[in-house]
Amino acid sequence: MTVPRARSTTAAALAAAALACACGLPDTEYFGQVPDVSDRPRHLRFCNSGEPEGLDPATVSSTTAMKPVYALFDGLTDYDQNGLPEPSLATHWDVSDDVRRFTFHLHDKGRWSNGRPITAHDVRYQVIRVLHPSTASVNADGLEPLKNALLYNRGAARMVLRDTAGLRAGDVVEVLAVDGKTAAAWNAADTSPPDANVRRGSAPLALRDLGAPVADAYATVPAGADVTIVELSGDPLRPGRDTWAYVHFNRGDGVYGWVPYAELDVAPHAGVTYRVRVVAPRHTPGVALTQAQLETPDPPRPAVDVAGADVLMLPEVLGVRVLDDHTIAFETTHPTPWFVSISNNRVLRPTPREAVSRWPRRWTDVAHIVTSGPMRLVAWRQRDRIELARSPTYWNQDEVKLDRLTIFAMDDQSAATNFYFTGGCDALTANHVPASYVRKLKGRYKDFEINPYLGIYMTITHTEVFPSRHFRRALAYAIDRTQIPKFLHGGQVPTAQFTPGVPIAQLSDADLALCGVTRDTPGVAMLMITGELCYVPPPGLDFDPEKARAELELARQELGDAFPSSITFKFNQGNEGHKLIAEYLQAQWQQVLGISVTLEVQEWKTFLSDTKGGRYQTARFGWIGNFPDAEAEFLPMFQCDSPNNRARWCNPAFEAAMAEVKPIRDRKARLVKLREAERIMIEDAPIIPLYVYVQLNMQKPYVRDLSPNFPDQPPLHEAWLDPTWRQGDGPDGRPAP
Amino acid sequence: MVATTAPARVEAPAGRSLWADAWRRLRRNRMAVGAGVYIAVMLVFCVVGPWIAAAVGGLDATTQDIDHGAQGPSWRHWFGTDPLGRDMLVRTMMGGRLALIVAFTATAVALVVGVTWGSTAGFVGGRTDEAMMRVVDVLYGFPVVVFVIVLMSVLQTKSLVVLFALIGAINWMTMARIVRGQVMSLRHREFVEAARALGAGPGRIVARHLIPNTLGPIIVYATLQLPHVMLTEAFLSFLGLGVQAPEASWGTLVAEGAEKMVVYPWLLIGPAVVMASTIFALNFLGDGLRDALDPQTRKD
Amino acid sequence: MIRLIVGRLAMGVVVLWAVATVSFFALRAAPGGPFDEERAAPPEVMRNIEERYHLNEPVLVQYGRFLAGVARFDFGHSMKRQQTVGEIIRNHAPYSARLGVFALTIAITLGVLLGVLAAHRQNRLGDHAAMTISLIGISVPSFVLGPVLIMVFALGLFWLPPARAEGFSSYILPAATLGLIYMGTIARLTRSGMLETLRQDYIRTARAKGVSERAVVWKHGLRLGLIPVVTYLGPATAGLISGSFVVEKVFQIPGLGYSFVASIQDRDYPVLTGVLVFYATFLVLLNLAVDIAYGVIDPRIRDKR
Repeated sequence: MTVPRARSTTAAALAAAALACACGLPDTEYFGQVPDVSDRPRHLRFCNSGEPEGLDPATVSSTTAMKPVYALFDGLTDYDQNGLPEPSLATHWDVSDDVRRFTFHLHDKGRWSNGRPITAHDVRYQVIRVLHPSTASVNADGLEPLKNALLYNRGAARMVLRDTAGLRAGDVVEVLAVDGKTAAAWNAADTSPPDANVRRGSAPLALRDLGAPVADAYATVPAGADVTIVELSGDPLRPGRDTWAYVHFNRGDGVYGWVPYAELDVAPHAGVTYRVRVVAPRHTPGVALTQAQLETPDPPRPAVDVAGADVLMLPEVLGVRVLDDHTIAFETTHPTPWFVSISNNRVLRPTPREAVSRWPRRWTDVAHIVTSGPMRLVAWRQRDRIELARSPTYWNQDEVKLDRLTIFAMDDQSAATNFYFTGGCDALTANHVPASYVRKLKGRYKDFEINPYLGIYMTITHTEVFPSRHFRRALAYAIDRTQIPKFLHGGQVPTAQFTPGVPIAQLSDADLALCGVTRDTPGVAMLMITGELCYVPPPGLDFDPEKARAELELARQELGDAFPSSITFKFNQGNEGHKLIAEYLQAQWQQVLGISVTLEVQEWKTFLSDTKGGRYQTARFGWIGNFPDAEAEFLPMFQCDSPNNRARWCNPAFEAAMAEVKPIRDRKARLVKLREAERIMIEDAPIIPLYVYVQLNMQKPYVRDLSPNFPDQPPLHEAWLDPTWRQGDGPDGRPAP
Repeated sequence: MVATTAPARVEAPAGRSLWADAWRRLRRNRMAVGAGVYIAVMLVFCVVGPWIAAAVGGLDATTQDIDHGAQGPSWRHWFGTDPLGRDMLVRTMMGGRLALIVAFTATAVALVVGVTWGSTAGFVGGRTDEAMMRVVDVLYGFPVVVFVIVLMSVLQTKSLVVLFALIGAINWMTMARIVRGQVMSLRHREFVEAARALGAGPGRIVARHLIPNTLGPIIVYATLQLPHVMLTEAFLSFLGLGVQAPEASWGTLVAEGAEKMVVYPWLLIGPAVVMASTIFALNFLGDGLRDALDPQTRKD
Repeated sequence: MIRLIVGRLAMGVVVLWAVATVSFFALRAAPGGPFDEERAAPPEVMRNIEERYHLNEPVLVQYGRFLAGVARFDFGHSMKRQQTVGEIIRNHAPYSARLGVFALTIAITLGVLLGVLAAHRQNRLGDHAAMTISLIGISVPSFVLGPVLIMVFALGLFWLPPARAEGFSSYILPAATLGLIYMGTIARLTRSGMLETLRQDYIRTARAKGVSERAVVWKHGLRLGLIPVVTYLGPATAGLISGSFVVEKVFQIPGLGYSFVASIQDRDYPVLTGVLVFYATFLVLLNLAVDIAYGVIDPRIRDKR
């Protein structure tokens, strides 16, 4: 056999270019050029992972968007260098004994970029915005533990305005049906039920800021046009002459605004009948329930019919209350020890009502935006870059080291890495280096490092297609995870455990003691609160070919003729690693179990749709947590009714264990129970964990105070550039490579 | 080089002499012959190669050897290995089988549809032409990706046959346009009028007079089509709609190699050189065929 | 000629309707929706979102709403980004246009030059050399050529930026990558067209009359010889503009092709249909221009019409 010799110039050109690239990685200390930054020590150029879908903290959800959003908008807390909450707008917070009430105390130095003070009312407004149906935010999910949050979000939590039909004014009720039809029936008919919050003015309505004169109106609603009441000023139970209503006018891009309540004199759906049921006693956030109240479950209340005009959907039903201008209290349905962990989340970063009201969809345009964070928006060139500059109104100027921050939208990893190589940007966002580069970068260039990340890579098994537990366990036992880093080269941590964490072997002695493990314990541990709380997930079904074959034999006996002779494995395109993993799994299952596997690669949305719709047998899947908490971020996906339960695994024992976790107030005791629940899940093998994700980070040697953290939310505004880095005796303020 | 034959020849002589002539001229074109030989070698390389590799070196395209993954060319693995330790030479050979099958079949489909469509439109003219060309316009304006995603999802099939059909269906429009343009410029030539005067029907005129006279552009375009088809196939594989893993065609291998070029250049060089040189040779052969088959240069 | 243009424009409207309709239904038939993510939202949250974008309505009602919008040149608001479709086109089309014009200039200049040279020296060294050069563009896919050019000129020599559209210099590599692909095809079509033409009676006549070889080739020959090239310019320009997304991605140029492909991947229905209708409008006008150009170049076609 002969290898054909390439005789064409194309081949020659290719070969020459390839030679050039084979020697292309320079033998230097740092990857590519290190530009001189003495002319811009306070200007960071950051390569982000693409174009953010928007800049509104209420609606954006991608990690791409979080980088500019967190620089523009302040939160109750912010991310510190370790990715954990640190006081920001709030100076401190109290947690009630029952772990259901969280009171945040704000300082009075916060200012919007238009000069207005930031108060607790702004935080409450953000909660209302995120949850109100007219915002249609995917982030509503993030406030799920808040009392009545999802009921309010789907328009089912309402407040009774006056004593009627056995209900007392102020009762919070859940809507069961409207005009004799259940929500499901309305949904099936693809129509929305008539809404008692819809009003009309018999004269044109002048929309304006609260209490402003008609002359200051920025929009006018024609007489007789529908508006929706979102909020009422004062006491909603006793609307008087001074009461104002905050309404949404849904035409064009939409607009919100305040009008005197009396001007809304037509209620078109006043006669509609609502069938409702009281959901809970009237709560008062910030005031703890008595022990007796806590331990006595609410007696079931009968459903009653009530006229539409008597029930309004108002934010008062939510577990959020402003106690004074600088104090805000949240109440959750169950003990929620991790509530403070979401206080730096976008859902609790206030947005400016005055801007949102006028341009609900366009308020983040450069011309309209009002911000609260350390940086302000200067320019936004779509799909190209976002220019930010230091905000003169930010309360904590000492913390801001940058005068200017440029965020490039680069969604192609190779392009971003090339751009970094030529000195175009100072730092790459996490995991923006092509995985195949890692082998050449690791240990060779000082500006590259690998850090732990809060994600788990796994396969999911459709448990309705493969109901046999033994079969699923056989699949899990058959995979040798230790081989994976050998071909992915990315420093991934192979694991059979589900909840991700740091390899136990890498923990400090203090953390070992905290986690209650010894250094030779295999597996990972999740450090939830530094020095306080550690979670060690139960061991998984690690590689054991003997057990795999034994389980397979059991499955064969159990299934008889129904034993599957071959299986298909779906994965999505777009990542070189997915395909290698798929081919590896195929070979392993074939080799260890003798099962033939068909691989099927799909386009991303098709893949999501198929796995969600149950049109698959086995598939790859990944899960990234927003903050380190197994209970909040990882295990709920295995509950029967979770929209993320793609494995369609529904196990009564697991449900019971999770239900037992909910009322426990002591965090350590909670974790013990949680571990039992996770063990039930992992032993039943609806998923096969493969490895813990890592973060690949690159930043030029002159970048200071930009340390990668676990949830990948480095505070960009705290970074700065050190033009004299070459003289320095080793990097200061930077973790050693 | 200057042609001496009048184009307005009324009737083509019997097929045998045409093809014999062509064959004679083709043999005189050393570049074309060289390209033909190269393609033949490449066919042998792809078809027979894997068996030889298995017999001599015990290599195949699927066996993984992760401890020897992602290594450069060696005596055992001439094209190196991929990250899972599979032999790139055998994978390139196997990929060639798929790529060539897909390319030739899809081009044939595109050719048949495009020539039929274009010649009919060009010859009949008038409203029919308008309507047929507007159909082409619509299809042109239609994004390939949507078309493919939708079709592949609706059909829920992953078979190669569907892939051929799709690629052919995507690529016939340009052929139709070119043939139409040629036919339009030919249909009022004297030899066509003469044929018509002699009582030839439209089908006969198109098949015997017009299409043979447009063979030059058709062949040129078909050869241009082959690499295009190969690239389309790669594009589809890249989208997850082409050849299914663990199989890989040249297009897939090259697309993946390009991503890893910086770190593992051999993953690109082997498949890319083989693919590019084959496309190269196909084009040279196409040129030769063109010179040989063009009715208007038949007796130079 | 006027009748031809009016007729074609009328047909164009039908074409646009067809494109809009087919794309509207095709993307909705594709699995997945704009708001499907790895972390799935609860059904109540999804319902609010669907209501806001009218995705809960029957498809035909959505279609009616869409057509009413199209008639007013209003394609609506993106479902994934805080922009209207019109803004997206206005923001991103200029990048693609610059890239396309630059690439087409390279392709036509070099392609015609190589093609004429090759035809003039058929089967001689010049021919082979010209065809070999033109083949580089055809044989190497842009996703290989682009990175190779980057490797050499940006990462190796630091002459040109490796990515982003920032000034003239950043367009050189992407335009070359894109142009070389079409250069190859244009060179080959020019060559075959020229060979055809140079055999025509009128060329022989011209030669017999003693017209200089240069004039024969460049003045008389090129005119007819370019017909296949002109035919190809329609699809080539369309391809340059719509199909440049690989180059736009490799070089991170925020062009429309890139937005378009993203809209398919995101299932951003309004953006997809809007951009598609924009492209189709462009194509209809382009094809009209090509047909007119036909007539101007080849009087025989014009006269027989």
